[in-house]
Amino acid sequence: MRGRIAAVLGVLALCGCGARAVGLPDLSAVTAPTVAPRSVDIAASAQLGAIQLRDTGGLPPTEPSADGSLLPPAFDALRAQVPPARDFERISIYDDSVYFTFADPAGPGRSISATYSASDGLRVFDPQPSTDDTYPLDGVDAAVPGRLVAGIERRFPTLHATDLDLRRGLSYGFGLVWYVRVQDARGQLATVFADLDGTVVAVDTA
Amino acid sequence: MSPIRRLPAIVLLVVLAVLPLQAWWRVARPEVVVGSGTAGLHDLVWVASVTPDGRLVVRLTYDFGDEAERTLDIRVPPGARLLTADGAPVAASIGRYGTVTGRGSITVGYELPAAVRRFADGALLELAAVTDGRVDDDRGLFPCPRCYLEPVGYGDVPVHGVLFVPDAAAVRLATTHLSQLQADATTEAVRFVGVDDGGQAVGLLAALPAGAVPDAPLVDGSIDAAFAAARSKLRAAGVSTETPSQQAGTTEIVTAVLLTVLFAALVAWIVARLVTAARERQQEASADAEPHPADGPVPPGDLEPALAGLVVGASGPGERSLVAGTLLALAHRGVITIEGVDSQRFVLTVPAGARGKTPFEEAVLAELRPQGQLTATATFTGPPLWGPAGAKVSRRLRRVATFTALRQRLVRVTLSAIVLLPVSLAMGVIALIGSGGLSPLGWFAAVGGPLLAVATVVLTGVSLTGRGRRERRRWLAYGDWLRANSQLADVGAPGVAVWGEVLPYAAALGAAPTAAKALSPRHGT
Repeated sequence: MRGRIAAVLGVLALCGCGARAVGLPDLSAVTAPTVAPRSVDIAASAQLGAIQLRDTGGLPPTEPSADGSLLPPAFDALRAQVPPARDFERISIYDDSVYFTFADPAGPGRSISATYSASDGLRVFDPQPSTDDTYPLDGVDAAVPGRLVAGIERRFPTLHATDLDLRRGLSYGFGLVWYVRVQDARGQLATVFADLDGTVVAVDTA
Repeated sequence: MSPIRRLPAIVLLVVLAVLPLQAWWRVARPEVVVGSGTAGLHDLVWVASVTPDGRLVVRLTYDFGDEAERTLDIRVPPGARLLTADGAPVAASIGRYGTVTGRGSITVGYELPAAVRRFADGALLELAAVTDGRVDDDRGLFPCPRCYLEPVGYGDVPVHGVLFVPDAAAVRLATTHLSQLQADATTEAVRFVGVDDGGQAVGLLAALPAGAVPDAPLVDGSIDAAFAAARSKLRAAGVSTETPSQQAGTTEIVTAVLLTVLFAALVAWIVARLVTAARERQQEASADAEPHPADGPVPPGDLEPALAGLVVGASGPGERSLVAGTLLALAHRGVITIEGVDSQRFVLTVPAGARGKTPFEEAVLAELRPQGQLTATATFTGPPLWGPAGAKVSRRLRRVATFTALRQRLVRVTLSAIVLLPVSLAMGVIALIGSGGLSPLGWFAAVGGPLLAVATVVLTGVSLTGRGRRERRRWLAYGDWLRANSQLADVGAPGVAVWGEVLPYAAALGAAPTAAKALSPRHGT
């Protein structure tokens, strides 16, 4: 008899174990999330805090920094030489040159590449077949690349922002963002994604 | 007979009444119950704000429920930016996939641009997308927590959510993989709660009022059509959507109905039994007032003096004692001896090995034996006989007499344990099952209810059976005859040598008050 009673009590106890009632959240204990403040000074961008520096023995990066100041004259040269260029597949900025790829205004399914350097000016190449996604230059601020390079290197003096790309294919889910490679003395350290206005929105250290 | 007490039954009914009340309260305000929680993930809290331009600012907290260190693989929807963990920026592959370690809890934060589509008549927040015919778990409220958090067990997870949006009272919600969904809203926020059964990815659709995102681009279509289309697309991908419900489930309603029926039946039965017992007592009192002719000095039956005195109770004048009647009967049979020192004082001797022939006689002898030892001889000089412990002895022997009368079917319990015990236990078990084991009162009723029922049975008291009433009439008449026709009022205990079997009955029925008082444990000092 005692064993049966113990078994019933045990079943009753097990029925109670692990179960709990929950209710609607208490609004007085919850604060509304707010939009993160956008810093005008790129060096002060909160998201750059995701970059974790490595021990490089004090050595500087071997790759030179990208020269963002090349973009405005590169645009000027392109407009002068290829006025109909409207839809771009790619804008890449390096230490001594800018590389453009834009849809051929003369016909669909083709793109034209061009490079600009301070020493050689603009060189435009022959059209090539292409089906890459394009974007208009509306909203692309030519001063942003220079500000990104300066801001990142001011925040992290041991790093170089070696090249910047503006391509749909390198924007992933962000729509259209600057893709900035950042290197230290050991090589590639991080990739910084920045909106067209220069806001740093993500850091990838993969 | 001791009076019928109503208070124990009232206490039992008041305690049990809370069970159906509690059950109906749960019907009116159903609870969200997490049946089998997940070890290592106690709670998920999703809080978000909608900005005027249609961005969503999200804060998702994984509460582990303990201080063990855990690793979370972060996965956020495509386009999510400004990813943080516990307020600090974190690196993430292509901005979406990161890893973070923490103790106690981890809070993931991010912004999601263009999360809301604005129509002319409303706006749709769609956090439950279908890609290539399958639900994209990364585009929901959160991906499968069990898949990306370790170490974590298997089970259900409660999800609490708050969406801050203007005119929140007009928001309509639908979720995927959240059961028992409940929601309400103030002017500034919608809050919801549900259970993520099995720790799956959870999605959300929210139809917002037109003015929620005034700066978001306007698109063609209507909010009703978009909301319905989103739900339909999920259904086609094999996932149903739930909308908030304030209605109780079948279990709650059945529990409340069963408890109410049982309680009502119990009340009706208890009231009927108490009313019947009270009526019987009244009839006995009326019958007592009538004259009772008796046949003469011969006892009218073979009940022992204690039982004769018990069925008669306090009817009629004169001090009486069931114990005194029993001791005198034992002395009359020579089991014990009562020798007079003078007309009032006596020496009572219980020889070694003295045995009574009834349970009550044995109980009385046991109280007199030193440490209850059968082989010891006990000698007492009285009156008084019992000493300062007499009152306790009296109560103990009264219970023995009552049990003896129950066994001989002279009395019955007013409220039967056969009804009270199973009903109180059943109510407790039903309340427990209906509440998923969460009702503390259900536990008390299931475990303590039967004990309370037994106490009610004992404390409510007993009533005479038909046989008991017949015996009462006979012994009442005999007691009256003894008072009227014998001079036993002043006879002391030693008088048993002269009066024989008459004196024990007289002491038990109130016709020999002197002898009764001398041997009664109520007059121990």
